[in-house]
Amino acid sequence: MINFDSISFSYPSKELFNNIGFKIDKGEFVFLIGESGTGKTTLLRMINMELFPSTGEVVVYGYNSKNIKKPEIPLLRRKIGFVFQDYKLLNDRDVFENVALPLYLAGLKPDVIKKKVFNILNEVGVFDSYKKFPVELSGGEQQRVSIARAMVNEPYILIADEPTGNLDPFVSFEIIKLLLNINLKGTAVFIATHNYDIVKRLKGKRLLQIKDKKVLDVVIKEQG
Amino acid sequence: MNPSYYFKEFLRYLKTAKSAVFSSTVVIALSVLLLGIFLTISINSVKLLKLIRDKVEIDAYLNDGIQPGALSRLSADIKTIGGVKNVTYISKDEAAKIFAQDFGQDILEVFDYNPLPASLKINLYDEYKTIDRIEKIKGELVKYKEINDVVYAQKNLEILERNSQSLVFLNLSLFVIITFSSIFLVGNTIRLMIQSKKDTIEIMKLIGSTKETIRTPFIMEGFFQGFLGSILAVIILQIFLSYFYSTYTNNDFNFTIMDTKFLILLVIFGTLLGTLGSAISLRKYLRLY
Repeated sequence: MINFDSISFSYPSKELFNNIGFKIDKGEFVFLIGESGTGKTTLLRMINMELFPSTGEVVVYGYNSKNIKKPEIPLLRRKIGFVFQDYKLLNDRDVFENVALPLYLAGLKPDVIKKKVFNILNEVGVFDSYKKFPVELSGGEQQRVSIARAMVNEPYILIADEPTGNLDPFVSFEIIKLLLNINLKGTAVFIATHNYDIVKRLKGKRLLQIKDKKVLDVVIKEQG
Repeated sequence: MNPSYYFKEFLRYLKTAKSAVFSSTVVIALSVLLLGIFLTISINSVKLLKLIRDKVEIDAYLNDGIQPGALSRLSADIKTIGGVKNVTYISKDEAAKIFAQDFGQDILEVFDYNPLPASLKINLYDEYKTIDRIEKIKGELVKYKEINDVVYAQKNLEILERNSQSLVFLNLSLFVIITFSSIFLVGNTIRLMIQSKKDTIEIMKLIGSTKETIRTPFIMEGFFQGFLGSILAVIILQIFLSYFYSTYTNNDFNFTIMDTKFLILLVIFGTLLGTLGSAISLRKYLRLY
């Protein structure tokens, strides 16, 4: 589904990755960890084709970073659910409209949009807030809306960049539980985080660790 | 994409950025108004110069005692000179009447006799109303022994020629300056407005909006602002020009108010200004997409 093959990436002042490679398959639940500034967000942005590697290729659902055409990028992004640390909700529209936006972009009919939006809002637990604007919601609620927006298109993979970064530990774990539920229903989940407490609690999950410009592929060990 | 989506987004942008939309509309209105006033003044000043040039003619003063037959021959000869449109004979008596009209006094009250000579008033074709060409015609006229003197408004014509060139240069320069400052001003105002929507554009891109989906509501907004602004400008311009028309129109000069075609062109200019302003300002945010 996602394949990073011999990727190197540098910013003008810093080399972030040197010949890294990994795959993420359907239905997987994968954490991406690493110190601040090691390139977690950069790596996720390569999946979204916001950034392109200096060498090597990223293949996402058959779209190859080497030869993807500009008009194809929006089509790829519609197949990926993206959740951000700062939620990135549009403050000039209410919860319903925020979540419905990807469906409008996909050209669905209003009655289908309504049904899908209410279903997903119910699933993530913010159904009652559908008329509220983002500023009227708590951080946890905003992140749930952001997850709803990412999931409403039924993507194959949900990518979350520090989804608990702005949340307290209790709410953070609630969000992770929500992501686990989404994964149980078949959607692959790829989470970049530096919240090691959460990572440690999820034994048996796959872990990608960025260290010394490389990506190490490990599994979180079961205790005892 | 459903057109109603674009329309809803367009209305949303108008609603959420009221003051920015207002500023852009006012800036477009002022730019179009400035251009309209300038073009009106410019066209009327050129018209005024033409009016002055139209009045340029040659007076050939005749010696006394010319026989009618000789006069007819002379008139006919002069008509054959290149550039001469028509020749009118002004007798001594007619000259006295013109004097009385111009100065309000009978010439015989000033002198005991009429010293005014008979003359030929020579009208020229427009393209011959330049100092060089008139001098050539004058050279031909003085060869006739019946003609005593040839005069024309040489100094006025000199001033006219000098100033008409400056006026054309000034008009062109001002036109370029006003047009470019309008584009710059409107472009900057719209850019500021779009900058305030930077986050929205960024989020739209991240969730899979196409360029067109992001761009269309902004273009609609630019079109709307341009259209509204230029309509406002045209209304103000009409009120302003009506005042000028009533103040500056007299028997000699008919102040030209711009016709409907010109006003439509101004509206098109303002609308294009708004629409292109939006399209160009958006390019920065959609470039790498």
